Amino acid sequence: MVFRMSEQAYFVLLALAEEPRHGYGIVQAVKVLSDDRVRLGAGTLYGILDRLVEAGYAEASGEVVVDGRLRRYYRLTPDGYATLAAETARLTDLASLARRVLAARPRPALGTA
Amino acid sequence: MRDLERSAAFWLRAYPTSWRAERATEVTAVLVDLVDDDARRLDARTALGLLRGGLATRWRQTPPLWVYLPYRMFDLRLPERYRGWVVRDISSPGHLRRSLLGRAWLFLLPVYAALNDLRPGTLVMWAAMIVATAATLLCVRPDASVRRRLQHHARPGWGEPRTVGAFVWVQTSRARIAAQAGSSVLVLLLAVGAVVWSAAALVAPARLVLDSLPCDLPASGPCFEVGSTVAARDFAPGVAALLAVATVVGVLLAAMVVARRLDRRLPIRPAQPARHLLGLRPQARVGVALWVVLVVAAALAEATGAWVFAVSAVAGPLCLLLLPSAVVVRSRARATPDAAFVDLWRVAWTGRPVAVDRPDSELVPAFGLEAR
Repeated sequence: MVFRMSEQAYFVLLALAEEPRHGYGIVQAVKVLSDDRVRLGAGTLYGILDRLVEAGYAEASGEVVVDGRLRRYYRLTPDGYATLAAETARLTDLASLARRVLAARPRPALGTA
Repeated sequence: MRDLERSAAFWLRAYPTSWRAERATEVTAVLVDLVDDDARRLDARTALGLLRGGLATRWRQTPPLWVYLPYRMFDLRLPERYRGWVVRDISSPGHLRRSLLGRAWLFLLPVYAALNDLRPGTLVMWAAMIVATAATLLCVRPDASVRRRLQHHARPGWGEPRTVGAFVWVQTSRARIAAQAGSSVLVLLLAVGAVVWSAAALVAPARLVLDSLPCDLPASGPCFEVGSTVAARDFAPGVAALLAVATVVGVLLAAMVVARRLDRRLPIRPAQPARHLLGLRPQARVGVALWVVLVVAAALAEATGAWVFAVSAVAGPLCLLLLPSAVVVRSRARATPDAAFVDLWRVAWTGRPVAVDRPDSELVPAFGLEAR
């Protein structure tokens, strides 16, 4: 099954790469990592987690009950780390390419429109 | 339950039942953490997110049509990624109805033929078949059907990795029908059959006669066709003699063969550590009653001339032949309540000693992995 890597899924992988987290922890971590740009709702978060678990990139790593609320922790699998590294390398290559293209672009001469 | 949790439970209904059973508590906790402290219900954005997520989850877990139809219509195995879906489909309520509806196409041709040839006899036969099917289904334990289908669809394929939660084979106790329950039903059906079919065989007023009829087509030589007509039937001493002989042979068979075999083999039957006995399910009483009604109706049809003399000619003597043996089996079953019906049946039929049951195989989800 092909995993479709969206920006939100990438941020979830990044959040889990730091340490195992529960659902609310992932939402907070993504918020911090994206400078408050990406805010995950519960529906989106669990859709991504389901797909990550199905693809074998993440797995449940334990449960704790805090204040009567169940918190299930998730962690990345070796496949998840490899996929995150591959996606990061792809984005790095893409950014390098973009920098080269922009650097080679002739600057407009002074006084011209 | 707080209003907020009630609101979350409402919107989480968008997800499949099995998903909710596993994740609802966890997701509700996240939802409670995410909203403002004084919120009494989920906001529209969160609710729409759950709705979209639930529909996407349902879509992702459901096999596509080209996978679903062969499964439903021909009971073919699904790819591994739909294993969870097929397990839920088989294990959830209404699986028997879904399974039968999926095979309804098997009856399309007979139904089409019956609709093109609407006669009272055809309708009666169809009604009898439907009642017989319903009676049989009522006697079958639904968990046995679930177990058989799970073993077919959820068994691990060759080379599949073993993971926690995946189905694995284990040995389990074998289920057998208790001797008392099985023999009681057998005696009841044979007794009813013996009485009503013997009576029908004696008094049936109509019989089928083979005739040679002249050909419609012109032929150079002698030509005739074999046809059948219904004729009146008088009391036949031959049939009465056949019934009497069947009764005598049945009694002798029961006394001299079946009883001796059971008395010789049952006292030395081995222990059965890999077996547990089951009674009949409560609905089986209705199923057996329906079978009795069918037998009586068929005999009445022949006795009144609605049907020609046919089934009772065989069924009457056969029931009289087997009934004494069944009564003997029933009497021995009362004396050996720990025996299975199959034990007594095999001893009575073959005369061989009672065999020790081997453990049955069962599929269960693996809760851990152990290297050996």
